[in-house]
Amino acid sequence: MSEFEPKIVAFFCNWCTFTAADLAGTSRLSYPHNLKIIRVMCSGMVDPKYVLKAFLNGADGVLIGGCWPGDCHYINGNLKARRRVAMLTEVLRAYGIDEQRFWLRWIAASDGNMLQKIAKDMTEKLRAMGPSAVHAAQIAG
Amino acid sequence: MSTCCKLSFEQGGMNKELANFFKGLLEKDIVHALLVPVSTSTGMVRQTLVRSQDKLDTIDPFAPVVPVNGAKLVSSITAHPSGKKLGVLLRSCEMRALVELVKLKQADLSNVLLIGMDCYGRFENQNFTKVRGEGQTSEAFLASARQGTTAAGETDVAGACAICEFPSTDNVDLHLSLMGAEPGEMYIQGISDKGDQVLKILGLQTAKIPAKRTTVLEALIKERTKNRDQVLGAYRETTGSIPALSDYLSSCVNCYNCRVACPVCYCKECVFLTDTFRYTGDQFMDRSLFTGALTMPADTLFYHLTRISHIGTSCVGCGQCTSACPNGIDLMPIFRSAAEKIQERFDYQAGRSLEEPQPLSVFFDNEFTDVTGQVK
Amino acid sequence: MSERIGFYICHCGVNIAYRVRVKEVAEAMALAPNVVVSRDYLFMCSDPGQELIEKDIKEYDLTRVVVASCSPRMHEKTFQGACKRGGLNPYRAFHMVCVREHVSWVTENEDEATKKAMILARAGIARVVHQHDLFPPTFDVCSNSLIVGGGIAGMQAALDIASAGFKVYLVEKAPTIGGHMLQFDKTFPTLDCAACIGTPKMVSVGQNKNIELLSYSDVLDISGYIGNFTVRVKKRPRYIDMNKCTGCGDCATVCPVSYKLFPAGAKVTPYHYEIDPEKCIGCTLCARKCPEKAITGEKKKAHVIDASTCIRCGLCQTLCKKDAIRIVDEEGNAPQPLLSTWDAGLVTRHAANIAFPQAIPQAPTIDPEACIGFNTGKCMKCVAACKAEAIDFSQKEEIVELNVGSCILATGYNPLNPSPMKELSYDACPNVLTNLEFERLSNATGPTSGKILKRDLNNPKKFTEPPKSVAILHCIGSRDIRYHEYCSRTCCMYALKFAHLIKDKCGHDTEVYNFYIDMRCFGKGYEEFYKRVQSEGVRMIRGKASEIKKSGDMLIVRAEDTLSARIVEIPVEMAILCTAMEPREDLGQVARTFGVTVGGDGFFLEEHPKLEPVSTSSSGVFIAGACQGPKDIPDTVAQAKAAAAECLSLSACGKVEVSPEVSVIDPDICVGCQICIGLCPYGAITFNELKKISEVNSAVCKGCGSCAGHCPSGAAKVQHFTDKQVLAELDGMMFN
Repeated sequence: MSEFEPKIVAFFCNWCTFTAADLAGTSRLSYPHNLKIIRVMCSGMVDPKYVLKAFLNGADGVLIGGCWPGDCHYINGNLKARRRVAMLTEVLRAYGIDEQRFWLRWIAASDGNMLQKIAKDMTEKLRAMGPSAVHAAQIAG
Repeated sequence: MSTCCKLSFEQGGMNKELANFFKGLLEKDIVHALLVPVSTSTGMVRQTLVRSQDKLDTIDPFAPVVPVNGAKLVSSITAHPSGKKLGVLLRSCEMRALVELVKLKQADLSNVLLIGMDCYGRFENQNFTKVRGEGQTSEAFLASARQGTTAAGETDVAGACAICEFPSTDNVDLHLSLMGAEPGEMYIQGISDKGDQVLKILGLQTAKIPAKRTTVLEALIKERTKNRDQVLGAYRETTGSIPALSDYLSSCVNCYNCRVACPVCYCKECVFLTDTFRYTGDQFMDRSLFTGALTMPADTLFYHLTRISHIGTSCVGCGQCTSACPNGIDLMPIFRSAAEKIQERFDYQAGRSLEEPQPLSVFFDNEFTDVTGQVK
Repeated sequence: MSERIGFYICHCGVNIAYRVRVKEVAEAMALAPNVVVSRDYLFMCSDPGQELIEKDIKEYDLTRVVVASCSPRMHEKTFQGACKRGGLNPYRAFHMVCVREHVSWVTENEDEATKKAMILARAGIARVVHQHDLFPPTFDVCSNSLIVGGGIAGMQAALDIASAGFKVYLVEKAPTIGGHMLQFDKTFPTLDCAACIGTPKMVSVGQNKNIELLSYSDVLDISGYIGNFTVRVKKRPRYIDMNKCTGCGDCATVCPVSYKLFPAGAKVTPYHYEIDPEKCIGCTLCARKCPEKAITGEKKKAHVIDASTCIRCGLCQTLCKKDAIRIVDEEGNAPQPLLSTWDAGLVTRHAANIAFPQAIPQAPTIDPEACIGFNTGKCMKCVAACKAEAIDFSQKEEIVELNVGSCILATGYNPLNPSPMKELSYDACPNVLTNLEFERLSNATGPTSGKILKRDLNNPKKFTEPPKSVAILHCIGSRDIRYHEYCSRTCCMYALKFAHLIKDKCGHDTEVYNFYIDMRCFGKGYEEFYKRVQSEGVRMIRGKASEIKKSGDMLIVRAEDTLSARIVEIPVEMAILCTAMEPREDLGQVARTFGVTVGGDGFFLEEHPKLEPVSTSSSGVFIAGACQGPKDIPDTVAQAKAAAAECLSLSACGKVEVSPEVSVIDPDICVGCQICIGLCPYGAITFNELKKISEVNSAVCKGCGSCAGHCPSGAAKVQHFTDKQVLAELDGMMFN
């Protein structure tokens, strides 16, 4: 039986997290292939629909990467993202999607190491948790 | 918040007494128009925008039916204000939804006289017609409800009402109160200064609100809260996963009636009806290939989950979504159970106060640090 | 008309191909919907690579192009250019997928890397078909520039921009321009006198018609966008009328106050002068000289100061030969002395003071927390002395609004404060000095007129004789995980400079010891200077000093001499700490004001570590000098010139193209809830009362998506990042 490979969709903001991902690449820091990045301009641009769609499409985990509070390129997009994530966590939790599957993390532009750590941590955690119920049930919503 | 007036009536005379009260509002130029429940020729009771007093003869404010959540109606009349003074009679769920709509700039209360009322619940529209047809009057319903029974034979009030812990209406100018009162008595409480002024102008007989009202309300709220926790708890037990929700919604055909009926679903055009959700053939083929099969129309789960995210902070649990579903899906628990958790997270209650900003319309520096759990 | 997509995956030499089986990816994508040509190529960003795209667009009548290669932050513009030359709207036609930084360079397993590349490529192909034509708007550029910081970087940049004929606003926090460089004595490796090369720059700046100097000022906020910024600057009051002041300095000479008498805006001083009756011999000198006749007493008997009449000018204290007069508050605490920042706190200054003789603007400031006249209306010695009648206590702070097209941040650095390093005894021993303090000692305009002298152990304000032995400790706070991991780049060189100066000024038999970890002498003439200093008999000890201990009048410096593997403890009379160059304490604040990111080391972050050293994440805002990272004067000047060139290219071009990736609100869908207005960080959305809908000002909008991320009906959309595009990308990613 092949080992379960979690699928992680990551929404990375252009200025901090996407740059950190680039830096992780330039620094040749390896991390699991499970994390796949979608570029957005700001974590505050992430519509709740994107997260819901990702889970409904069978993602086992969703990661939103933003700048540390105070450092957002657009001043405070990350603070709005944080409230939206708090709200979405309740919706997801009500329907069996554990909050450990949905992360908002602050990653500074110069912190490729942090990105590597988060990618590894999330993959391992999800591997232990198993596929999401949607993934397992193969339903399309 | 001091004046209180009393209306007294013989059995069968409640509506006439109330009609006089409302007529007085028009007569004395306190308002130019009223939005109140009025019986139609077919025995249905509809919220009606009334300009002339004679049309109030068939008023039936306590009829246990709410075909449309009044917040929507007040919104449609006041979003582009006429400048004319409007008096509206609203139940608690309607008023709470209206508070949310005001915060979303979809209603304007500057020339509105808000009249709240006690509410024991409403029947679904078809059930109301049936029960009315069987001869139950509003007074009979109230009498039975006072004794603890809202059911008329096999038919009971909407599920949303059975678990509603807001039997009286807040944030109003006047309040029609009968809980805690004797049969044949109705109290009109002045809640705001504006309300007190109105009572003064009307020159009604003043009285003190019965002391036992407080205990009656408390007991009812306690009972309803217990019901709420039971019903929502049971729902959460059985429908706590996406696959379970998918099963729950297996009859949904994306008619979007629930969104039309919902008072706080305030968009002019739902995003699910826009170009964003018009797929190409390729997209359908790809999706169905991945899962093997795709129930059509697609995006049912997506729609409901999105709707929860959009209105979760404003849901007042009025249950109009369940009432509207043509395929009989009990949608109310989906939204109420999620909304309870969402609003709790933000220490917010939909409809509690006009001063409380909606949770996603504001944001601050040092809050919700548990979301990322990261410290610099 | 159907979509016709051209897909290209780059080998990037071997950078992608060594891990991702690019041919396999190209073959797989050839089967994806709408793809009519699918290729792999060695270097897509090269001329032939781009020509390949242009050729295919014509030959295959392509409607969209997807390139899988490096990060879009690297080459998105390159390929957008190729599409444009091929006749397609670059925003509509092009999407870039990163398979290098995010795949080949970070995924160890070839199978996994190849699969991931395919998934990402597929997602990109799904997204691109939903992209629309976008046309970047062009705006006129304001040719003025703003430079924040008047040190060598700021001054150089200002001069370069001004000489090209454009106007510069130079804002400096301190009362004078010059910065840290002007505090130094000689500069390495040529031993040029810093003032000799720095002051002509200062004078040029002061005299240049195109440079408007706003000294003693701070930037409050900035709004707008590249080419069209509005900046508000607060000019703090000097209480000197700059139009009348001649810079004679008489006010500073007569000012008697050298304490912070009115701390934190107190209008009434909590301090009073009192005479110690034990020490007072009743010479009556103070009573006779007191301008307010506040002291009474009989001859040979202890005198008394009447606190209600005393204006706290302190003349009595300066006159008293028995040191019998002290100034304290109710609890017996002494006030803070006013320390000269220019002289690195080695000496005190007065309430009215000019930073240093060559200050530009050549005018003093009056410290409102110390001045008696400003707070009580008494004293007024400066007013009496000023022949130009330039003292003006009624001055208020002034806020001005400036229009500029570009900004340079040249805010410099702070030397690290070694007080927390108790093992070095900096606070405890007056002859342990920081590098900046030593520069001031050695500087001819400093407290010792350029003589290197020890401090009196009992009275640190007094200087005695030249030291017979000096230790110079490298890497204090640098290369240290407890403080800063980075190397401060300049310390080895100035440590050698100090060694040379000490030998030169104190005599060649003065023992000088340099305690270093590595010698970093990388620049032009640096290695040669190192050799020269070594030949002067300076002892180089390879081992960072761990501790300085007091031992009688001497300092014992302890270190491991790693080359001989011994612990050494060397007694010296003076020790100099080469402190780290740190980011300024208000750097975070400035970063936030200008929308610039801060790197992990705490300095401003440049856009690209190699290719964009002076640009930042905010278009139109550039950085130069030590605020970007520790560096010496030649590198600082080079960066200043680079930043100036960036500003000049904007001003010379006269127009700027702004990204079209901004928010647009569909007027048919918007229901006017106005929540987006409250969420917008730039105030770019306004409510149209007539139509009862919200509208975006696309000139102000920066495309952050706060509005779009919230709008439930999808009325607000960010161009190029619409729901339809992102949802399609998600589908493409998951379903394959």
